[in-house]
Amino acid sequence: MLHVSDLPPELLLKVFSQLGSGSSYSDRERQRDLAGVAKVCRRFSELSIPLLYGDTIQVRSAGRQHCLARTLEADPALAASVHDLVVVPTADQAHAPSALVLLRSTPNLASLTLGEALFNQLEASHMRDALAAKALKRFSFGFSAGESETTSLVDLAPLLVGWTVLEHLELHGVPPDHRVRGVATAAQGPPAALVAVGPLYRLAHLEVHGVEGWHSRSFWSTAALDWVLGRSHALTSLALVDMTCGFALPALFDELVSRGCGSTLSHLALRRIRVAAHISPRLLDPNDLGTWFPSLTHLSFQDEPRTPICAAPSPAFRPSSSLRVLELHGRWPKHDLNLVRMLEGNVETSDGGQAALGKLKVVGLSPTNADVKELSAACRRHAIVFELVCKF
Amino acid sequence: MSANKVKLSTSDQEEFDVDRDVANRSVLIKNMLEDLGDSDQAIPLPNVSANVLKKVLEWCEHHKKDPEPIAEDLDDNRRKTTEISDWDAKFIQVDQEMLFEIILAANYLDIKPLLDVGCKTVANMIKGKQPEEIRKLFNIVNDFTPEEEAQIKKENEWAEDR
Repeated sequence: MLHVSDLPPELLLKVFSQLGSGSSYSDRERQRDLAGVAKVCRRFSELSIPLLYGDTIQVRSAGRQHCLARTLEADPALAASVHDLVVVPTADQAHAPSALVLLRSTPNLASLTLGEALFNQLEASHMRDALAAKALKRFSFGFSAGESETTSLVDLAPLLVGWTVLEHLELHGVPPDHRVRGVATAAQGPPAALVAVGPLYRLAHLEVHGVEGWHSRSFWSTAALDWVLGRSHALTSLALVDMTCGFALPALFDELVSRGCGSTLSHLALRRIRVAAHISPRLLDPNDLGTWFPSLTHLSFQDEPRTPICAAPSPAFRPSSSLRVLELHGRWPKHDLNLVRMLEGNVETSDGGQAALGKLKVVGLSPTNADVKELSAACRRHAIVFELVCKF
Repeated sequence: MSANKVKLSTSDQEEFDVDRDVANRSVLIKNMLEDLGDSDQAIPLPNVSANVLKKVLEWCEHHKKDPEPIAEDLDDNRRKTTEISDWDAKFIQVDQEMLFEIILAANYLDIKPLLDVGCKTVANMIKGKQPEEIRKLFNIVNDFTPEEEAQIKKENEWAEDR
């Protein structure tokens, strides 16, 4: 009788690696299952422990932070295998002493996702030093979205300046902070705290997410974005979400091109963006995107019907010949970009090349929505993969 | 023998005549066919028995027209979230012994999508289960000493459900 132990180690490893695949399966469930597998027998344990510590480690509660810190402190070899840590606790669950141990005991930490609640507790200088000493490649920071409003970009600036190998930066819930607003007023220029020294990193990936529905209270200037970009000249991915821009998008794209990012940018996300009232031009012609970014393969887009940033392309959106995936969020995907018109005839490209568009992804609508049916039928006619992601 | 047919010979000396596009789902067989050129000789598969090969060929037949996987969308989640298709889920409803046989055969024959279906199925059996339940499911003996067991429990406490 063939037994599970007859599977060679590489196949058992493949089985355990599949824990965590599947759309409705969280990091926490994967951790729980791998920890469970580790307790079954020695063989399972040897194979699952490296998977458990080598993948994303997420500790939300104070108790978990404490337990993980205890384990990593006691076992340096295990701690050395940790490279991706997610610590985004709520204010009452942030445990700074444990966080300090976690930062100090993980020499190979390359990716950190940190919440403001914990960051605010790391005030003592030795704690900030421990954070600054990490050679992070990826950093994701979640502002508390207005719960406290004590932290701003200015507080992160010293860290960003020090992380010279950072490639991937995500800022979530960027607050309507007066200091950011100070940065935002182009006439005044960025405040001294930001101007002094700019980051030396060369980002490949930048995401800036505001707070949904808080548009009117904060906006970003070219100066702020310019500072965050640092010396990046080969950006491959840029996402601006839920932001009010204190700059015209064409001006931003011109700036990116002049930095050398024009030919490197392959992923662009512009969702729920507004342009501040005093800025002109206010509208962007989406058919021009290929001129700025000839290597653009992925575009994610959602316009605000009442305050659009895109001129409805006439007669329809013409994707550049490099664009492979078009992702549309929101309630009106059919109207954004005049998509149905685009899909009615042959898909024409903005640069006269062969259309590469292979996938249309619609996020946030129900499968029974009339627009969804129409778009999916049109995609079928063009042999374009249609994917619907429902969000509830 | 027709150019579009291939002869496969199993560990228990059974021979199968298979369409070439079905057999080509196996990278191992595909490479052997390319090396051999046109030959009437049966390809020996000493690691696969007839009842397992029959099952594997059933999968290959159903998936013979599958397109080559396209380059992954980089914007999607880091972990691939492909689910098992309905047909595959039904196909893989077999007893444990056959499931492990299919996994071993798919690995040996180098049929990556079938190997994925097999491994995912075993992973799905493990998901959400307590260690004791997993031991019972796969008939595994707990070979930890009580001290080791306590140690490993303490070490990974941060990952547990509480």
